[in-house]
Amino acid sequence: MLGLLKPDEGEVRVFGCDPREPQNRRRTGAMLQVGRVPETLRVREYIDLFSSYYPHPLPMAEVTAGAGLHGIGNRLFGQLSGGQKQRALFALAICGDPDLLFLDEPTAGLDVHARRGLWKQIRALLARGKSILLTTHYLEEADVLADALLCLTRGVSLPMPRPPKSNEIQRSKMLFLR
Amino acid sequence: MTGAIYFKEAKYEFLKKLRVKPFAVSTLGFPLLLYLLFGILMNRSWHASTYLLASYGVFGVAGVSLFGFGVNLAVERGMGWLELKQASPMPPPAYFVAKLVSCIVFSIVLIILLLALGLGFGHAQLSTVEILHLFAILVAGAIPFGALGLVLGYVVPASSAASFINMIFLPMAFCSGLWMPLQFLPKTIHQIAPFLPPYHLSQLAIAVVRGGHNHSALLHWEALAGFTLLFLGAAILLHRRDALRQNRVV
Repeated sequence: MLGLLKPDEGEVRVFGCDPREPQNRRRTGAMLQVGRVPETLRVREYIDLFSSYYPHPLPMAEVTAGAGLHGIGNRLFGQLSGGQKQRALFALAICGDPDLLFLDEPTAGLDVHARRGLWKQIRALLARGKSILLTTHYLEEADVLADALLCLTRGVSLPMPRPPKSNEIQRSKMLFLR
Repeated sequence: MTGAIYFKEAKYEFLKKLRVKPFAVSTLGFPLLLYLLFGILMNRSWHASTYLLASYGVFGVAGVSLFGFGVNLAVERGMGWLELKQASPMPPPAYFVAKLVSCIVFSIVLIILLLALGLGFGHAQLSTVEILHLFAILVAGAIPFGALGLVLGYVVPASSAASFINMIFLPMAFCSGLWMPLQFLPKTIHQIAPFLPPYHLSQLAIAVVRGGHNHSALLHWEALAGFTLLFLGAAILLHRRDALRQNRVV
């Protein structure tokens, strides 16, 4: 759905278009599990760069506020703590004001405080009518945030008639929710 | 809007490289230091000073492009950073154009510094036309070496990209006569040299500083163009292989 892979069969449409074409990704934002990021650019510079990819980016102040990056916009990426890096990557996902957001384990490695902060931001985006597709290892996170749960096991989605309490599905490998 | 993306991509690519001290120090400092040592301090003749200006110019430009493309690409692929960019609406060519532009800007800085060193403090003598000609040849060199760097960026492991590329680059520079003129090197190396891209670029650069008409210029340009196409073709194949590999994993 990010346009990174070619479907083995069938086709993927996002907003009616093939996401493998770059111009069709202007309404989506993504936060992937990036191990590291080139460390010698400032947070502000990264946001400026990613904003330029989108036709109607959010103002810089709104992005830094939304991602909780007050006062660290001028830091080099390499000087950030783990939680700050996650928030900066979150900022890159939201800076283009996308309607659909992909968050791949956004809270992995965050402490409780930082995780709650990110949940708050995710809820704020939902309140603004954005769709979010989120994968997570934390069943609690799925319970707290999701309107709908999707559980994938070996590439097959398990039937889920209602948003279940996630302790029923502890053996699942991955959870999608939105 | 697209123009703005390319501009910002290139600007930040350049800033990013400039701030990586090992990159700036090794790609700019190394050729300058070697030239200062061998071209100026150990040499009193204008002949050697001028000759080495051309060959260290080639050495420097090749280094900037090989490392600027190769190491950067290898490292960014390894980080998953390239994947994040591919998932964004960035037009894919912007990433590569930005790398090429930043390598060309670095090359220009390097050539200016080398020329300043050689003409200002050394004994090199060149007319304005020769300077401009040499400049153009060296800057154009960023293209074939950028293409080779691209290939290496897909092949070398991210964790030791710089040392791998040095292992290829340094012998290649030596065998192309960049450190020592080819006539002082054994015969075998004479036979290897034409198969190496720096040889052709350095022959063009050396011909300029020697003065007079260069009869084989066209041949060397053709060789460089051939190498560029070959490397770009290989890079495209490797890029596809990379995409296929991603497909398999998921």
